[in-house]
Amino acid sequence: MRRPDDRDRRRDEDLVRGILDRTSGPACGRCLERLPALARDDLDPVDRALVQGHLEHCGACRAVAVVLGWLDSELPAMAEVDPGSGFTAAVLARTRRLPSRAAAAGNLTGGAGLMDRVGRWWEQRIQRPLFVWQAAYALTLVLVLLTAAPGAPLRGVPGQVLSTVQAGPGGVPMLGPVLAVADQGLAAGTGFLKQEVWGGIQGSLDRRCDRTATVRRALDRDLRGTWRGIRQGRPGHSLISLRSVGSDLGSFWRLWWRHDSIPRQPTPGRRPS
Amino acid sequence: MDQTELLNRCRQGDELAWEMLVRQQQGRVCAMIYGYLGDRDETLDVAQEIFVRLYRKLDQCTDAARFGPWLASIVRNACLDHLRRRKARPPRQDIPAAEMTSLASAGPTPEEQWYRTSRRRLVHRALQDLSEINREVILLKDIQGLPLEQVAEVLEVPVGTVKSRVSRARVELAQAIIALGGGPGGSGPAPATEAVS
Repeated sequence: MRRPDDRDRRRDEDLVRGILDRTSGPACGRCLERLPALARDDLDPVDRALVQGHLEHCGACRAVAVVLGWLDSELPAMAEVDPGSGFTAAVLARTRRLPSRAAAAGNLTGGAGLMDRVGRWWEQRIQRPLFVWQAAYALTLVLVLLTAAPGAPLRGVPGQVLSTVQAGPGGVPMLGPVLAVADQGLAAGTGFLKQEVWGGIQGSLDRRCDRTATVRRALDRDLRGTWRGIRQGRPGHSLISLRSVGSDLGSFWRLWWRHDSIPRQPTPGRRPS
Repeated sequence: MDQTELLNRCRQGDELAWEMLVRQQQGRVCAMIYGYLGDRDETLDVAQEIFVRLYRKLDQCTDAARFGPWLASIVRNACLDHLRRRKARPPRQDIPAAEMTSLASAGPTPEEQWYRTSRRRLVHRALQDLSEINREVILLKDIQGLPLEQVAEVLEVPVGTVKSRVSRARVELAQAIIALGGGPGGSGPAPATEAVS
């Protein structure tokens, strides 16, 4: 009996493909669905035989089966990668800069722990953008309930407060002498501030103005010269004046910021400029 | 050391315990991030951010048994955020694909040194070609080995969806690998195990 050669096999393949094309279509989709189960050895014998039969003749599905086979061992081995020796140190350096967990939560117990937790809760609330509106709403509600609702414990108090404010300090007993003492203290404090702080600033400004007076005059002269040059259409003249302006500005800067407490001493052997 | 005890120590501010937790989880976290991003430098940056986030949020995980999926959720959210930002950014360079191939073949890149096994590199490249859900299923189920329920929890989809996706995702990955030349007849790495019997 003659063994089927390649040509026979190819003819059979073409025949099968032709029949499938005209009937159910190619069976690759069905085979691919079952390939993972085949790789896990999770197929019943009939399905197994059918899939293996298809694999014998379909190169594309056979390639997928091969790759699925090695993926089984390869994928779990990819669960971890080594990020390098410096990674842990970098993470620890970054978390070290954060607020300590021990202080933040864990080690505080009892009243201190409770206060700490309340504090953190409050901190979280206060950071929300809506907090101001919610707090204002809640405060208004509380004030209305305390002062305006029927049977409120402080009903009538706002009216009394308003009449006291309108009557001025004389309307409140003992407030006059207290305000007088406060006025005296305020006046003394303001005088001190004027004398010590503002006096110092003013003196310093005066000294700086004095020592830069010449330069400021030169600056004014050169700026006018520059402007004149521009108006008269003499760019050369403007340029020379502009250079002088730059030099004046430099001198002004140095003189203005020179420290008052260090008087300039002429350098020995050189003529003071 | 018991995971519950380790987490308790970390919550109490024990720096040694925190160091151990970082060392214990860094490989897994980096592998997950690399699966999402496919870039070594970005992986290391995002991994640091994740550990800082983990440090801050450690109080939220009260059950040590849930730590794995909880951490996976943090990693996933950080990676998706990063991918969104990356999409919004203009590309770093505008090099034609052909030139990129020649640049890639000029010498080993840091990624190639990092992932020495060419087969793993191929799998990672193929992962980037998968749909988002299929890539995540492969990363969480097949690579990280999470049970179906936990994968569903992390992905916020029904368990049935994950179950139906697992096989399809694997086949899609295998086809992507073949398309990249990693199949039995391709120019990529030769398979270690031969055809499935």
